[in-house]
Amino acid sequence: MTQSTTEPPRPTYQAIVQAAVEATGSAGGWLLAVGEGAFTVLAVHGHDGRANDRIGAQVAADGAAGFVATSGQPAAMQISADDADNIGAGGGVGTASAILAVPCGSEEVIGVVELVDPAAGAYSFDDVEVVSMLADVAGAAMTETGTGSTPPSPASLALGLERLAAGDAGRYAAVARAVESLL
Amino acid sequence: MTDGGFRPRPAWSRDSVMLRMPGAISLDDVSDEWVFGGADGSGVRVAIVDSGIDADNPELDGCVDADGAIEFSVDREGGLVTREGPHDDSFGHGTACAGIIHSIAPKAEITSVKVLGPGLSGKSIAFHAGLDWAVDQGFDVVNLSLGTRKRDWALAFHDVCDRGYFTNSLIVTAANNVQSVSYPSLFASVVSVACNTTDDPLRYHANPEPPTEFLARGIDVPTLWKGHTTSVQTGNSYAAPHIAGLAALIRSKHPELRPFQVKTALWARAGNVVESAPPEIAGRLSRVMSATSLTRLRARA
Repeated sequence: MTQSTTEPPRPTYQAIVQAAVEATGSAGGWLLAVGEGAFTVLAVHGHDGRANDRIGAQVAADGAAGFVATSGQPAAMQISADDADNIGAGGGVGTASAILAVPCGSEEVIGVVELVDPAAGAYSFDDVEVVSMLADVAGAAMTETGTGSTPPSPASLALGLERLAAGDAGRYAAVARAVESLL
Repeated sequence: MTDGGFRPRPAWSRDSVMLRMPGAISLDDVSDEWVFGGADGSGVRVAIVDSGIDADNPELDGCVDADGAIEFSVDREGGLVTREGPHDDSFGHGTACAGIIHSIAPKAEITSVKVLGPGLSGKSIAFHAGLDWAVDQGFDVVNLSLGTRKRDWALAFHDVCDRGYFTNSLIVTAANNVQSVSYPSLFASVVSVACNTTDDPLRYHANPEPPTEFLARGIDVPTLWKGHTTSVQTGNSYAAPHIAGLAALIRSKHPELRPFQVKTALWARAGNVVESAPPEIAGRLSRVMSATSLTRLRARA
């Protein structure tokens, strides 16, 4: 990993990652932009704040985030203690016991939201769904700032938000905060 | 004529007597016993297009044809690179899918088509090439626990999936977890699968809201992983191989069925379709599964 910039985290990205971390009770997480052969760290939340030093850094495109970026499928996994390759995921701090990585972008994967260590011990399918919604917002934000290509349609976002609101209003509030910061 | 040996044939308009199909069954005959009874996947070839498979994982019992494996990747200039022969799993995802399919159809032969490896670029090219190869090879079942969101590739994937449909390869895909496009899971020629909430690997449902057609176990699934480790995974990626395994059972017992008939057989025995059966049978195959499959599934649980 190489440090590359002192640029502060963009508030929108930061709000999205924070919302994802809080909605899932994670210890930390980050938003990664897909680049040529590597990820660029766009925002980090959690991990005692140390990870903010990593904004703008290039990180290797491997592990769960690398798989998600190439397969287009979310990955929610509990990590066995002997899987050393997963050390450093989700902000590059510590060894993760569970990882959730979700792709961003409507027409192609332009980023990945990756979270680690939920308080519950494992990520649920509800977590996958709420972070997928946030990842859609992240994809739109990345598009707005020229990092991506095409935003998700308002109709698809509204549909997802309505579904989340029907099932769990608390989670919907986290998504709404992120959307508000985008507007 | 298109590539891959697929030759469109004329459609005939004749009296049904002329086209009579001796031995054809009716839906009334499609019982659990008829569909799955005693099936173990024997004689069925399954391709898993994914991150590779650790073929030497002892839990796979040698079901993976390591020498028949193939890998598609992209070089620095964007050119497609093909490499035949054994390979490992770069991530663990392909081995997880193989373990699920093997637990349901233990006698099916699995071949790894590796299209996901290190790096981020050119994956749609490799993905398409891998699926195209699997269809050309005539695999009975092709599992795709991945997809692409790139519309530029939609037509190419549509073509290869249609070719698979007409040349008798059943392509089972994971649907996207959210309401966004993912190819080829949106095509009618494939079997598109998402999660249900069951922890029963043999319980599945027909989805009344297509394009996703079936729902199967995909939450907190204990799986094999790379490096002979294990993991617990959640996602549609793990629902698809459950249906692929069940399809392998059907194809081993009924090799004469075409893809749409396999879909129909799956639909006929789905949990939410078999409403009149006793709870212990509805949507479950355990009463008629082979003893080997049951033993493995219980051990895995």
